[in-house]
Amino acid sequence: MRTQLFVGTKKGAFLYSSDSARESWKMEGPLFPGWSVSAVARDGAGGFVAATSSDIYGPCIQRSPNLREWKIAEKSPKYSEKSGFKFKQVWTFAALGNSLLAGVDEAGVFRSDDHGETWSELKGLSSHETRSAWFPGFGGLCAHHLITDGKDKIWCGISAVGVLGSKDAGKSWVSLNQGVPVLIKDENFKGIGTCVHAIQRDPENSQRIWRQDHVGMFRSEDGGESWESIQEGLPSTFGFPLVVDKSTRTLFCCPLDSDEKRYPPNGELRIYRSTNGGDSWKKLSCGLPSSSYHAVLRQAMAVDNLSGEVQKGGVYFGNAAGEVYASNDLGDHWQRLQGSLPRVLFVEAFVS
Amino acid sequence: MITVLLGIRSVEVTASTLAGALQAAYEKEPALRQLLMDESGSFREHVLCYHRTAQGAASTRWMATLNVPLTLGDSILIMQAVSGG
Repeated sequence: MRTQLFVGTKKGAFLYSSDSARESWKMEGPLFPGWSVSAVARDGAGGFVAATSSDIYGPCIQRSPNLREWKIAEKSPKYSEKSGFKFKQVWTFAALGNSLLAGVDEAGVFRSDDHGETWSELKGLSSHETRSAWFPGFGGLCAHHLITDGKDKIWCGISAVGVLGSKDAGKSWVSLNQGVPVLIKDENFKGIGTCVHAIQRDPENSQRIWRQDHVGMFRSEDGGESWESIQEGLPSTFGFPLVVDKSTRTLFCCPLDSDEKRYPPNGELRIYRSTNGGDSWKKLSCGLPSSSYHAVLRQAMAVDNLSGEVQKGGVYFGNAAGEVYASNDLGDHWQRLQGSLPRVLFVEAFVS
Repeated sequence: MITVLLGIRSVEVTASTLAGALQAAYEKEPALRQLLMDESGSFREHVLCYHRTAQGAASTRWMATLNVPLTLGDSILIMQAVSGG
């Protein structure tokens, strides 16, 4: 069994490969040298899609059979000129049945029914009644997280709007932010103006959703209709990445000091783990550095879901200093992988 | 940076105007259009396009129209406006 770690950075992507033990890793790259690489996913047909962008030549979609050889898709997501919206970057991909979804900046979701070659806008979201009141976060007005039930339910995290949900495969949307403090109040619309940073769903129960928000960690047991705070054991309310190991339903996050400082509390780069659905969190530090003042960005953490009878799942993350860390035992021990990369934008793990 | 993605440095086309040559290049290499053009069909802000003839090079920024006649052997040069330290 082969495990591959695809690391997207501000100036290219890097590929780390290992066997099922995930102890020694071989690094290749950069792929797309000079290009910002912001997302990668399986395309649903045995291949992969990735998102690249440049300040000069804009964003585009890439396709590959093997994570190494890439070809630019002829048609990337594109808003109509009439809409006035600009497509600036893909933040995330998600599967919905046989279709692929892409969450983008400016905030919207596009759908591909041909494994990433062509894309059409889910207009119900970008024409939502609250759209005129959507306010960009520090990282832009971006649809950065998509989770689905695999059929027709979609949850979309948008900064700094909040979570919007659809039960009809993206035709109509409602805001799902009750119980989360509003950061940017709007005079006309309630239910938006929250600043979601990441969302994940329980792999066994799509009604249970976890949420790292600008103002804390939250959990919903009713598909996002209401949220409760789950902070016990976390050193701060602020942070970006949140991932869940599908085989054990273990959660991982990386708190930062505050929205003003955006570095690990006291410079101690630590991952926090919850094995009870977020009821409490435990600090993981073995192999992780102190005196580290770099953030772990929103998409820069991943799991490989390899937990089983003889091994534990892998957890991976990269930081803004271009350091990549890997654990092959659900975070008990960490090693820093080879290389000092450009700013790490995302990390994704693939097992084959 | 375009070469990194497309694997080519140039496209040969036959056309009688600058606009026609660009259109022909986009038909040969469809990804070129999205790399060079924004939603409104204009060149992206930091993309520079020069019409090069035997007499010299002229930037499209200062042209009122791209319906500029071409002569056999003319070329179009795409550059990225990158400056600063």
